[in-house]
Amino acid sequence: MLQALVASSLRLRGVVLALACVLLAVGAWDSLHARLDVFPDFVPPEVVIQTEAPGWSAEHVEALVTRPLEAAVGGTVGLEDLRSTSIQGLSILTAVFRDGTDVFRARQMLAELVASAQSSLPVGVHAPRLTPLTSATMDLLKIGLQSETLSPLELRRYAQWTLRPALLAIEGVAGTSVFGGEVERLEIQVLPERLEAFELSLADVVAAARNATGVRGAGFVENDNQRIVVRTEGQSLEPDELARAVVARRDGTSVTLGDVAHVVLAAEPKFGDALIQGKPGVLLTMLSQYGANTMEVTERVERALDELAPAMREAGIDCLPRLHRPATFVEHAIANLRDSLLVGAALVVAVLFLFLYDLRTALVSLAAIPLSLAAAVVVMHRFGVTLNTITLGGLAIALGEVVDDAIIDVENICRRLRENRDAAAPRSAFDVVLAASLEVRGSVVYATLIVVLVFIPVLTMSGLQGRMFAPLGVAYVLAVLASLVVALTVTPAMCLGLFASGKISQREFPLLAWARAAYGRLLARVARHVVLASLAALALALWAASLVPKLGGDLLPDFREGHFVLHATATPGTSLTEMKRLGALISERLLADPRIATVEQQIGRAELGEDPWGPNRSEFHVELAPVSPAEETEVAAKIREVLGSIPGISYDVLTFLGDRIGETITGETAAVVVSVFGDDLELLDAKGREVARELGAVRGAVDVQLAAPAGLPEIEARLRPERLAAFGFTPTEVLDAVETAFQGVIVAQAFRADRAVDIAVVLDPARRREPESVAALRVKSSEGVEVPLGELADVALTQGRSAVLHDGGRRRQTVTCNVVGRDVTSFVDEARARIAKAVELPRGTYVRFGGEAEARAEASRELALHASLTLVGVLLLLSLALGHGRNLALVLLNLPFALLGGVVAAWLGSGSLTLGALVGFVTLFGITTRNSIMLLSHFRHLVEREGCTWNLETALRGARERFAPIVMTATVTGLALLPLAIDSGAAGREIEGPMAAVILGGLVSSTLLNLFLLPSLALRFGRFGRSDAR
Amino acid sequence: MNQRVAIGLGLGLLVLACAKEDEHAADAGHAAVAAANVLGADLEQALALGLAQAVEFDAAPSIETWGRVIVDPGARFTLRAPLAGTLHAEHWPTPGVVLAPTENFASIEPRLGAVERVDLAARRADVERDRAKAQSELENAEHTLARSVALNADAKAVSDRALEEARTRVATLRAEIANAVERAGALAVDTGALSATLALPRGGEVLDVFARPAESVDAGAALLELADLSHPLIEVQVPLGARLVGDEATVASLRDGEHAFHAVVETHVASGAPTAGEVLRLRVDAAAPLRPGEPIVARFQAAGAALHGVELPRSSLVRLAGKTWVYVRDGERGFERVEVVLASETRDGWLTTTERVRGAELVVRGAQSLLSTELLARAGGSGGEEE
Repeated sequence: MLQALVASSLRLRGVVLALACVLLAVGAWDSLHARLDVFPDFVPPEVVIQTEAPGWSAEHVEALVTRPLEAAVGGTVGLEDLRSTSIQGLSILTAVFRDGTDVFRARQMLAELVASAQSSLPVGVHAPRLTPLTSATMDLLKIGLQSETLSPLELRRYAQWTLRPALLAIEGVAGTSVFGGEVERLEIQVLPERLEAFELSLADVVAAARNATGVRGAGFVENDNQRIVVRTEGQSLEPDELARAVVARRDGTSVTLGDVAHVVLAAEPKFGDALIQGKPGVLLTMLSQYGANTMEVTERVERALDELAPAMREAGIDCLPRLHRPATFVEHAIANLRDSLLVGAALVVAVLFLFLYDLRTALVSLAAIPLSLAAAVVVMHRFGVTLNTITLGGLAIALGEVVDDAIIDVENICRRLRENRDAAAPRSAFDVVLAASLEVRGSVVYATLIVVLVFIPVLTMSGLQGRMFAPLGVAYVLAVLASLVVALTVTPAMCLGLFASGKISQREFPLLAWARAAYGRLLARVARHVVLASLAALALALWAASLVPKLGGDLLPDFREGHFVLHATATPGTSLTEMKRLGALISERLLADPRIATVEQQIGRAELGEDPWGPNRSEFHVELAPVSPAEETEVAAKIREVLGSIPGISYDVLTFLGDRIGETITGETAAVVVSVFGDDLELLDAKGREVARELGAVRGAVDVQLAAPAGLPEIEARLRPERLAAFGFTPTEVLDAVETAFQGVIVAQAFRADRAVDIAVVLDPARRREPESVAALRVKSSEGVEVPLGELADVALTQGRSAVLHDGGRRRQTVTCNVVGRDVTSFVDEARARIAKAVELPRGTYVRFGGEAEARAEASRELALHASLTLVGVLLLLSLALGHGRNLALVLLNLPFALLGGVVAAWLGSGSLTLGALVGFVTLFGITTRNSIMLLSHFRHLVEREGCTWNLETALRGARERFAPIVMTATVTGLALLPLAIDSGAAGREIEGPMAAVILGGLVSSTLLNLFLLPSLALRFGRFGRSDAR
Repeated sequence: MNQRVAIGLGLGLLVLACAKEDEHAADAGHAAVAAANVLGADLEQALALGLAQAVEFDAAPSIETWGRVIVDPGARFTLRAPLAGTLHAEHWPTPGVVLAPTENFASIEPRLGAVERVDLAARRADVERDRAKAQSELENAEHTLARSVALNADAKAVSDRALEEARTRVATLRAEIANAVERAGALAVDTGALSATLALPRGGEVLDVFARPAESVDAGAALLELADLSHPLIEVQVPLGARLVGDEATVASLRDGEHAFHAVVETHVASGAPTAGEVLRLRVDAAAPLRPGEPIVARFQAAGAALHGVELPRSSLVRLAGKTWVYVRDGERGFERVEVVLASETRDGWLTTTERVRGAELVVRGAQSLLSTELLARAGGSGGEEE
């Protein structure tokens, strides 16, 4: 089949070349119009269900909202994990589905289940809603609004009713959450003493307010000609109008709402707030839609903001449009990677011209690069794979093998054409090119298939690691397969076209000629001392193996996004005001560093926002001015220093992607997550604290936090039935009064143009600031008996909890931390040992580790398992390619030696094995195997086809003949990866940098071993053809 | 040579390995320093705390209750129409106007039918005719009497008897004229020529107006309601179980809490419900601008000893484990959390008698952050609560 393909390509070389040109054009078009993103979509299919239960405590939300919903959705087909968080007033369920699940179908299923469960939820709980489907990175753009002239109420009104709708209308924007400012509502702030003076109750006020603000439809009148709609107006829309509404008559005079309450346009109770540059403002966070292109949508949003800018200026609003712009990282990352690829490609071109020393030969080899990459891009584009740093990385590391395919072919064809020209009876150029191409093609096909096989473990990894690295494998494999096709079709066709008639250069790069001669001499000496050389290699391999345990393990490296996400958490119960004060302090100290451009703080949560946080938790987004990677590390340290100077908070510092990846793995943002499962919340808290203490004692632990700490101050009013009976109250009368007083009751909506403003009855703010005011609240029964709440209920300050967490329907307490100055894997190992020793867990309670370390361990396990399965296939292919068990053993023995360079490179570099570095080893395995196959196949060819006797001379000849391709391939691959490896900390190179370093290191050792040890060992132990000899 | 290269390479790698170990050691030291975290005095700057000296405060035990101004039934007066007719007044009062007692406050023009009016006119004409006739006869009679007197004096040209008859005639005519005038006057009242004048026997503030000038009213109809509000009466309900000392209270309008007035309990009214507190009526003993229906707050002195303590600003209080705490600065040692018992609420905070905070420097800004710091340190950085 191969022969037919190559022969056809040679015969129809014009068509082949024309098709190659078309492929190049399509590839270029697709590259220019491809979706650009930082990473592939690394988030599993997940659906978030939010249910508001205004005023309810976390325990009530857990029991009455979260539990029924969990029971309803628990059995959904494809559900992999079900996590929940119940906080005061809100239940959040996160349903994570198995990879490959159609997320739209999953949403549909959940929506139906949730709708059926809705009837079982208590009165007062809002309808559950599914949050918008967003992309992996979620955040699209954060913008801040500030004004010297507008009040917080007016600023929020502008953001909510003018800006937000305009932004939501943009294609690709999934949602916009708004923090800060004040949401307006008409508030009837009841003065309890006046109620008492007029002998009225809160219920009277609520009823009067409802009567004053109703909206009714009025039907229509219709005659023979027309139907005319009747509209009634008369709703009290302004505070003054509403204040005149009559509540009751006393002593012949009317008592109005204004007599018993302040009727004002006030701010809704806040769930969260925002500071921008340390000052109050309104923060809008736009979320990108699932499948949307970050760059395109960002550009659309920015265009819309530009259009709105004059109106904002006119309104006295300052807009900070880039508080967080993930697109900037995409731009930098893609640009850096593109630069690396271009520099690498330029180096490859230079090296090829130097080594091949002939313009036409170099041209044929070079042509393989764009053709193979274009083919890979076209296929990926057609299958909806985005161009991102991962796929581009895959293409970058494939560069060496792509060129290698062409070099092997061209080099062999040229050699055979030269030999043919000197032959007594030269054959036709067609026959020579066909034969030369087929001569090496068998080995190349085997080698390529092995490389593809080697990447199967990467392609089949599950979870985050799979979603992250499979596209790299896809790009790599596609490029390598494309290069094989190019080598089978275009390369022979070009060779025939260029070399058939013209003179083939005999010249050789002088340095290469000298090196080959020196190599021959050196190899002869090594071959004579093969035992010594083997022992030296073995010693080095053992030393490298001893380094492996010292290498730490990180799932992913730190990303250089030019942006940091900080979480600051004070003790539960801390007010928004205090968090704002601390936030202003932190912002001021951060902004004192000129390398920090902007700081914004979002406190608590936005109304129906994504993060279920109480007011005691803040998230800061710190955008840096353009800085180098080293400076970025310094700024991170500076940020930690600033946060460390505020002792009242626990904190963590992450990059945005690190934050998202952490959330993807465990729902938490930290690198290490330890969950304690059990039923008793008090026990979980106690054990959680013990785990936290042990975790904090492990070297490298920073940002140790309990995810759901207890200690939320609560005022518990427990009704006393005997007192209720004595005074003639019903429980709901009392509960309604307390709800109205402290939570507030929405009685109606006032409509102003296209806006709806709530009208609420609530206690006067000054009367609900003190805990003591709860017991003092005067409650009036329907029979007119009025007593303080303290007479009807035991009112006491107690301790509650800010959140109740579930995973898989079980209660859990979670301890999180980050690791500084060491690798996460060794940290987790140590922490696991400490916790096992120091924390005693009663029956039914158990600890589970999660987070980055677990994900990496899982990835390593999967890699090892899949690799061992793949190994069987590799062995089969190798035995087919090499033809003898001994030769197979030689290749396999050679592999550990080849990998030692990679280990040393990793150790000298970050000292840690990220998942990217592990993938680098996989690549290295492929490259080394390929080189070994090519060398041993050549030996076999010399013996079997050319009739040489297998001895030192043949071995030296074979090695010398393979010297140039091996060195060239190694140099080309090395130079292609060099720009990635150097400055591997730069944006976009964080994952590929360590990978490139490992491959580079491995290439050095692999090439040396392929050049010196493998021929020497093959000479002694190899078996080729019929006349085996030592 | 190869061996030397290998040894060199090995040494180089060894040096690198040692350097990496040193890095780990340095990190460990840093972690140990960072672990030490106490509530030191340096927190004042780190957390930008605000401090204030605790202020001594005295407070008598008091009870606050709410009620409203009512109209005193004893000071209420209703002006009614004496007869049916049309009300006439030059300045008719509006509610809220204070009136003094007066004799001529308004008038009422009687209300008559058409036949009555004709009859009255005929009768008035008869009277007028009779009066005119008598008047003219009186002039003749007086002239005759004067001539008779002169003739009688001049030698008795007219007899004494004739003289006496002339005198009788004059007196009779004068009586007839007086009678006619009297009858004419009576008829004039009924026909509106003389309206009935309304007097205001008691002054006070107009509470309600039931009729307007030019309005026709029935006899006995209410025209105005007035009350003397110069010393307002206030009704309040005292909470159940409250023990008051004395009969005096301070009252203030809830709408305008600036001005307080002294009041004395005037009457005790049964509330009518066993679960309700006692209802009191208080009389403000000075003129006070309090309106009927106006909500007021009344403060009574309660039984118990006067409190002498410290006023804690609201911002200094933190609640933890069911208790109330403040942070006080203990010189250079740092900040200490002190439990306080809140005795009563004051205008700007709470009164406590806890001795420990007397004269202390209180944290009035950032107390919650101090609490957070303390709990965080205790829980080993995890933010948990162990109180």
